[in-house]
Order: sequence, then C-alpha cells, then structure tokens
Amino acid sequence: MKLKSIKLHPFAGIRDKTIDFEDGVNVLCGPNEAGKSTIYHAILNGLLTTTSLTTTKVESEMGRFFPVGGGDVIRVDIELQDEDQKTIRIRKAWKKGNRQGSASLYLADNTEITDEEQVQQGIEDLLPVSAATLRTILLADQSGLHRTILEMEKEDGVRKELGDILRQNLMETGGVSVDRFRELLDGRYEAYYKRWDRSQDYPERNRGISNPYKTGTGKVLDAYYQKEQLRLDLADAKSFENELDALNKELSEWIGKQKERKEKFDKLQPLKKGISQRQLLEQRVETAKGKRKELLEISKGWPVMEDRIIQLKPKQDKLREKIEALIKEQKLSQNKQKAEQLQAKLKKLRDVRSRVEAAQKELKEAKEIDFEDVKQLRERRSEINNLNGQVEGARLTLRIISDSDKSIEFTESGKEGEKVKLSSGNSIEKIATGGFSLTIEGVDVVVYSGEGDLEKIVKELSSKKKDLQEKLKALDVDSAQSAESLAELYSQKLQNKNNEEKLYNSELDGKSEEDLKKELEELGDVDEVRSLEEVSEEIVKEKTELNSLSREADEAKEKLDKWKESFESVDDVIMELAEQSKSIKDISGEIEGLPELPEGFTSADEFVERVDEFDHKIRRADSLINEKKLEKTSKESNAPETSSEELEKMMEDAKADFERIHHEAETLANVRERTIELLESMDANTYSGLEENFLKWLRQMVGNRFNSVQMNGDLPTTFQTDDGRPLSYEILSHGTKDIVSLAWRFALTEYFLQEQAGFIVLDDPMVDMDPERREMASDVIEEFAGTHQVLVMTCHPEHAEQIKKNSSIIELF
Amino acid sequence: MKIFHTADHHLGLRFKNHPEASETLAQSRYKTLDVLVGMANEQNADIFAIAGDLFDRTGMKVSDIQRAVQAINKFEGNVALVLPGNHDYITEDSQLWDRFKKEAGENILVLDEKEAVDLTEYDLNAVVWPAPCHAKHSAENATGWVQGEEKDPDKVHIGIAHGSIEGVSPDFNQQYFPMVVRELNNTGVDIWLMGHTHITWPEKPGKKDIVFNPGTPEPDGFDCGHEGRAFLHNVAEDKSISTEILSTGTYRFRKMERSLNSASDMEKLLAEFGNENYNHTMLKLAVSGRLEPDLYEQWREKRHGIREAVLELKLDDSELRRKVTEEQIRKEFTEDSFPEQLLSSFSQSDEDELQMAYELIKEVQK
Repeated sequence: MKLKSIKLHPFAGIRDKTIDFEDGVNVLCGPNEAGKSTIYHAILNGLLTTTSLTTTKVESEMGRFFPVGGGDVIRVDIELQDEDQKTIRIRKAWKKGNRQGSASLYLADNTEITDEEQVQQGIEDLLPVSAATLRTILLADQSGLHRTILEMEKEDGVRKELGDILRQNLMETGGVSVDRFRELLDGRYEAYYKRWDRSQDYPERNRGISNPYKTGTGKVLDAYYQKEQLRLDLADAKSFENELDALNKELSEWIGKQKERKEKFDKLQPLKKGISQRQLLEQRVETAKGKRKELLEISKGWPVMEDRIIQLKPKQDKLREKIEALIKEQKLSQNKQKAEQLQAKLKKLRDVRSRVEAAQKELKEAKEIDFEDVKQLRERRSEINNLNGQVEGARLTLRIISDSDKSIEFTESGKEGEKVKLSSGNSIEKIATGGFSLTIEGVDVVVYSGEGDLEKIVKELSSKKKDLQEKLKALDVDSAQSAESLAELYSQKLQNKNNEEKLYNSELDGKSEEDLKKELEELGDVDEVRSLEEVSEEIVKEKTELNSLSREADEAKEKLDKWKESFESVDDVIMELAEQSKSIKDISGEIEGLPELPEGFTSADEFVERVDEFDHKIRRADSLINEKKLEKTSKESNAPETSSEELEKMMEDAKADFERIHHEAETLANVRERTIELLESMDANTYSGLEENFLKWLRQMVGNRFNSVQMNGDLPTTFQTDDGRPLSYEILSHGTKDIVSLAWRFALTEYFLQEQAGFIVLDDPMVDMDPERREMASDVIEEFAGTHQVLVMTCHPEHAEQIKKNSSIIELF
Repeated sequence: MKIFHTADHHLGLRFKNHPEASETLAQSRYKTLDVLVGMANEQNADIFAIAGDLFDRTGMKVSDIQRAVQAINKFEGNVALVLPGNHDYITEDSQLWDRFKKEAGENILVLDEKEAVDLTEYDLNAVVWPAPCHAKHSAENATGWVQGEEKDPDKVHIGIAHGSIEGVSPDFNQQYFPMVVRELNNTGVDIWLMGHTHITWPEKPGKKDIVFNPGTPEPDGFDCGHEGRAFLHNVAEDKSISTEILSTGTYRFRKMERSLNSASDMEKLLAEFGNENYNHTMLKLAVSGRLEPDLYEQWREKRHGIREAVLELKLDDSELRRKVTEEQIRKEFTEDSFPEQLLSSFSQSDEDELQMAYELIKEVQK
C-alpha cells in the first residue's frame, strides 16, 4: 500500500492543494510548521480520524485544522495504491457541529461506501499495519526514540544501555512508559495493600482491630479497620442498649415494688399507735379478767375449804385407830411366822439326823482297808511282775528218753514238783521257765538257765509271791484290785457320814433340838392368827387413805392460810371482785374507740414489727433505687453516640466499601501480576530479529565508526569505539543519535510491515548530522526507499537536495 | 371523630452515615413535626396521635424536647396523645418524659401507663388503650393487657401501640414488642394506631381494617424509599373507619439503577437530574453498562452534575465500564507494544482487570 496523492481543500493553512507522491523517496521541503506538518496531519487524519465526531471532539481533535480566516469545513482526499496497482480513493470532510462530517471510500473495484463508521473501518482494514502502529511507527511526526530517551534520562537517571533503550522504545511506542506504568502499579498496589497480608487476607502480623496499625496503612486495611471498628461499635451499642434495658427493667421493678410498699405502709403506719394502745389495754383487760377469775374462785373456795377441814377430821381419827389395832395384830402375825419357821427347822433336823445314823451304820458295816495297805499290795505285785519277767525270759525245753519204765519227779523252778512216769522207749518233753529240777532215782538234777543269779531270782520270786498271798489273806481279799476297790468304798462312806454330821450341826447352829422345841412351845398357840402379809397389806392400805385425807386437809388449810394473808375474810374478796368487774368494763369501753388489728396479723406486736420492718425496707429500697439511678445516669452519660440501628446501617455501608475496595485491590494485584509476567516474557524473546536489521542499517550509516557492538542475547548492549572505549547512548553525539534513530525507524518499519509494501514519513532526519554522515544517510534512505515508499519532510533545502537523488523536490509554501 | 395519626419522627436522629446531609436531615424532622401539626389543624382533627418514637433516643437535649413540645402545643384539637416508643421508651425515672410533661400543655397526654384513659375530660366519647414501651428491646407484647379489660360499648375504643407487626414489618423480629394483626383485631378495640414500622400499612386501607401503621412522616434511610406519610382516620358514629393517606415530609431517599450503553442513555440520565427537582433527594445510584472510552471519560467528567443536583449522592458506577474491545486496543496501541500486549492478554472474564489496566495505561500515557 502506497500513498498516491493527497488533496487538502482546505486544511489548516492550505486552501486547495494536491500533492502527488511517487514510489521511492519523496522529499517535501518547506518552512517549519507552515507546510510540512500540515501535510503530515492531513495524511494522518485522512487515514485515521473518523468524520463522525461530536461537537466537542471536532473541536478537540480537528479544531486546529480549520482555516483561521473562517469556514466551517475542512477536507482531505487521499489516493492509495494497493499491491495490484489499483487505486483506492478516500474523501473526508469534517464540519463543525455534532457529527456533521462526511466521508466516502472508493475501493479498488470502484465500490463506494459512505457510512462514516464503515468508511473508517474500511480504511483501517486496508492499511498494512494497525492504526496505532501506523500512527506511532510509520507516521511518527518526530523521533519517538529521541523523546523516549530524553524522558527516561529525566526521570530516573539510570544509565540504561542502548539495547535496553531500543527494546523499551518498542515496548513503549504510543507513549506508555513501562517504568512509569510499573511505578504507578506499585504505587497503587502499595496504597491498597500497605500493612495487609494478601496471602492470609488479613492485616499483617495478625494485627486486627484489637491492635490496629495507626499509621502507614493502605486502603484495604483502612476499609477493613473501618468496618471492624463499626462492628465493635455496633456490638458495644447493642450491649449498651441491652444493659440499659435490663437496668431500666430492674429499676422499674424496684420502683414499682417500692410504690406498692409505700401505699401499704401509708395505710398501716397511722394505725400503729392506736393498735399499740389497744394491745396495752387488751392486756390490762386480760389481767383484770384473770384477777377477777381468781377472786371468783377464792370467794367460792373459801367456805368450801373451811368445810372440808371440818369434814375430814373424824375420818382421819378413825383411820388412825384402825391402823393402831392392825399394828398390834401385826406382832402376833410375826410370832406365827417364827413358829412356822421353827417347826420346819425341827422337821429338817429330824431328817438329817436319820441320814447321819444310816451313814454311820453303813461305815461300820464296810470292810476297812486303808490306802497304805493297797499301796503295799501294788508294790509287791509290781516286784513279782518284774521278777516274773526276768524268769519268763529263760525258757528251757527238756526231752527225757528212758530205756525202761521209770518214775521221775520234775519240778519247774518256783513251782510244785510233779511225778512223771516214763515208759520204755518213749520220750517226754517238758518246758520250764528259768530252771527246773529233776529227780531220777535219787539223783537230783537242778538246772537253771544262764549263770547262777537266776536261782536267786526264782527264790526271791517265790518268796515275794508267798508274802503277797499272806498279805491278801490278812486283809481277807482275793486280789490287790479288790482291795483297792474296797478301800475306795470305805473312804466314800466315811466321807458321807462326815458330811451328814456336818449338816446336822450346822442346822442346829449351836443349839440343840431340845432348845428349839422349847422355843416353839414358848410361842404358844398361833393357829388363829392372820398371816403377816395380810395384815401388812391392810396397814398400807389404811395408811394410804389416811395420807390422802391428810393431804386434802393440808391443802385446804394451806389455801385458806394463803387467802387469809391477802384477805381478812371472804367478804373482802367479794368487794375486790366487784372492783375488778368495773375496771374491765371501763377499759373495754376505751378499747372500742381504737383501730382494730388488720387482717393477716395475729398480734399488735407483729403488726408493729411489720410496719417497722416496712419502714426499714422502704428506706433500704430508696437508697438502692438511688444507687441504681446513679448507675443508670453514669451509664447513660457514657452512652455510645450512635444508636445500634444507625450503626447497623453504617456497618453495612462500611462492609460494602470494604468489599469494593478489596475487589479493586485484587483487580489491581491481578493487573500487576500480569504485567510482571508479561514484562518477563517480553524481556526474554519478544523482539528477536529486530536488532539485526537495526545493526545492518546502523553500520551502513556509521561506516567503521564503531568497532563492535556488544550483544546481550539478541540485543546490543554497548557500542565500542575504535580505541576500545564503550560508548553508551548518552555520550553519542547528536548526529550519531540521529543515525541511531533513523536505523531504528527503518528496523521497526521492516519489523511491522514484514513483506508488505508500505510508506514511512521522516521528519527532518538529518538535522544534526555532519555532511559526511548526511551523505551516507541519504544513501541509506534511498536504499530503504527501494522497498518502501519514503516521505521525507525537511525545512533545509540543502538536505532536500542531498536526499532527493534522482527524484524531484515537492516545494511547500 | 378525626384522628391525625403519625409515628416514628425520630427527632434527634443524627444521620452519621450521611455526613454531607446530616444536619439538614436532622433539622428537617423538627420542621416536619410543625408541618404535621399544621395539617392536623387544617383538617380539624380531634386527636393528634403520635404512636411512638417521637424521639430517636431517651437522652435528648432539653432544648430539643422543648422544641418538640412547642410544636405539639400548637395542636388546636381536643387532645394530643403521645406514646413512648422503643426509642423514646418510658421508665419510672425518665428524664425525657418528665421534662416533656413539664413542658407540655394541658391537652397533651403522655400515655405512659398500661391503663385505659377516658377522654371524656377532653370532650371526647372515647377511651384510649395505650401500650407504651418501657425499653428499647423487649419480647413482650405490650398490648396483651387490653383484651381482658371490659369496654363500654357506647364509647370509641382507641388502641395505641408501638412495635413490630408480624407479616408487616420488613425487619419483624421478636425483640421489638412483637404483635400480630389477628390478635390486635380481637382485643375489642375499635381502632389501633400503630407505630414502629417505617413503611405505610395497609397500603390501601380497606373498610375492615382497624390496625393502621402510617410509617415515618420523614423518611430516614434508603430502606424507606417512599415519601413521608401520615394517616387521617375518620371514625364515624357507627365506628366505621375511613382513612386518608397524607403525604408529608420534605426529603426522599431513593435508590436508582441505570444502565448506560450509549451517549443518549448517558445524556438522558444527566438531563433527568438537570431538569427535575432532586435537591431534596438522597440518592443511591447504581450505574452499569458499557460505554465507548470517550463516552466513558465524558461520564467521569459529567457525573458530578448529578451530585450537585441532589442533597447527597451515593454513587456506585463500578459496574459501568469502558467498552474496551480487541479492535479498540489495536486502534490505540502499536502492535507488540507493551500496552497492546497487556490489554490483549486479558480474557472476557478478566473484565475488571482489563478496565483497570486500560485506565492505568491511559493515566501513564497522558
């Protein structure tokens, strides 16, 4: 797409002029501001500004292009040529007023469009780059690079390397400084989020409303604190209101109760004196009545008592006599009892005596063996048993065989000998203990077992046995056992006799049976006398009765005595009685005029006590009510300024504010994050390829001025001079800066147009270059114009001459 | 018998959440009371009844109490009935009401007890059955005592109460002396003069209605968007009631929502506030829609006109956006430049981010 012609009729200072453009370089030469910027703006607006503008927009965007001398319309016609050499025509007219302009677009096939929106859209569709790119890169009115660099140097003073500057220049085409944008974002972010912990979505260091930051807080935290403070205030206000309600309720109840109490008290209080007096008088009446009753009793009792004493006297005397007789009878009854005891004793003595006699007789008849004899018998037998044992231990067996009939005597030691007849050829066997003797035909054979002592033992045994037999005989018993039991029997009987004798003597108690019989006789005949119990019982009975009568008499006497202490006679009593009755009547009359005890009270004392208690309670409640009132007053003086209802509304607003601010902040944070991400990725590889073109154009214009360009990845960081010094952009001369700018414009134009044909406007590109560089620059412009149409605007005719080469100069006036 | 029925004046309300208009709004409530008494006099009302919350709180300045009483003293009818509501509740030692009574003229009756008040001494054949509030909050139905009382059939029985009514009060809640219409209808009272709920009920009083809530005579917040109102009840011999709704008050709280999608939408809205009289309006305006960036800028410049037209503006135009399209971005920013890349990176769902990024870029670009 190339520019073929432009017609201004009128536009700014130009009334009617058509300029035709050629392919390649077009040099427009004219005085500054007069012509060249008018052509530039006509191209720019002819392509990019809609004619459908509001009144204000016409003024702000196009106002300065209306003819100074008058007229309310400006027009620009542009002819473009597309790749196929077909012509496209644009006609635009802007008029003052609201949307008064008009536009036509004649496409390559001669289609005409007149809807202003569509015309503009159609133009933009035809352009090889976007409208913004066209404005900022291809039609830049002056070096954007230059401006960017100046701004950057002014703003942060950071020495930026050339490559960064170039890259940033592209990023910032359109006048948006990335650094300023970042600063703005960071500033806003900070303004929102100061002291706010985004990850926790809570104030930093958990400093909530109870421990808030006082300074250095961001909007989010401010809004949060605001909301939270209102929440607390609301809670305070609510609790204050509830407490006040409770206090009021309590106070109301107290005051209500107090009112009741006072009403009641006011009713009761005036009765108090009357009722106390009534009580006093009633007590006096009671006392008087008691007295009267007492007097009445005395007056009635006096003659009765006197009479009673008289009546009782004979009865008492009779009883006394009877008791005396009974006491005499009682003595006889005692003798009778004694006689009966003696008779019984005598009978018992007789019985015991007969038992003594029987025991004596039995003793006499029993065999008398004493325990000494029994002892001797036992000893003897024991010795025999002992000796017997020794002899029994030596047993001998004797076999006698005779060759003829013979008679022999065999005697076992200690025993009687026996005659034994032996027949021829026969044998006799004998067994002997200890020893034996054998007498055969005059020969005595004595045999003892063991050595010689046994014979002695056998003899001793024999002698002991004999002795035992003699003793038994002497005692007339057949055995030692029988002697022992007889001795036992005798001993028992003796004992029995002694016991009975002892009993008998003890019964006698030092007297004899004769004495006792004599005593009995002396008591005489007591058969007709009553028993002692019977008599005693009667005495007790009579005495009791006597006592009772005496007591009755004593009491009567006592009463009379007492009465007589106060009164001389019964007449006195009757007079006193009359006085009391009168007194009772008088007091009762007095009582009638006094208030009665109200219901619910049992006594005047209780009444008075209750009234006093009431009084006390009322005073106490009064002071309590005053305390409560004070408490209330002090509470009310600390009342929250704002009611809970209003606070509730305020809190709702604050909540909404917080939500809104929080949302804004989050939105901002997202934009910031996206920006950071984007800048990182753009830094890495967005503009690859661009710098190669830049260096190509640069080298052509500077010749060997720079030995090398240091690269950082794809971008140059430093230019190095011949003597090896690094040369950063700032220390390049103005002329060199123009060259860098031009090379950059070419590189950018190629970058955006790619393979398409397009056009570029250069505004005085060689102002600060020396003639040598201008030459090289104009060569480079010519070379670039081989691909893309170039419109060079200058106010220097000699520059125009240098650049034009083979083309002609379009003179502007 | 004509009863001028009002409630919920909330004298002393501070309007802290409306800092710009607070003083104006606070003062207007006193003026409205004056106006109401004047209206009642014009209508020859026999009774001027305030069904609670004449005052916003119990801790009122003496001069403000005097001001209120002086206004009511001007009532020329038989009797002015003033019921303590839950904001100006009565207690045994109420300084507010003690002072009020001290200042009040002979025909002002403070209904501070739950006991029938015979109006014979005011030349009216009527008995008042009051249900005063004794606290700010209470779950007690203060009208409970009325039903059991014997009522003379030859007299007009006027109940007067303050509290939330089930099914009527938008914020019905058990802690504001709750009541139920059905129960009120069965109390044997001929007419119930209610207060507390700031909206008018019934909206269109019918022949059978006996429970009436006039709403506040001077709106006090955005939850109360209607005009201020009072009732004029006419109780006939046969005790039938005809009720007239009266417009009262000066200020209005309005909520508006507008969608701006074109220059004409915007101009229409701006014109509305340019032409109509809104200087007594507290406005909560929510604006949404999509505008071309230049229109959007215009909106930003011109919206203050609305603020100037109203008493106070709470404007939320966060939902109003610039129309930032891909085309728009291409038109404005060089291809591959940072702003073009940043803006193009936001998807449809990132609209808020796109708007903000655009705005920030514009700010830097300037």
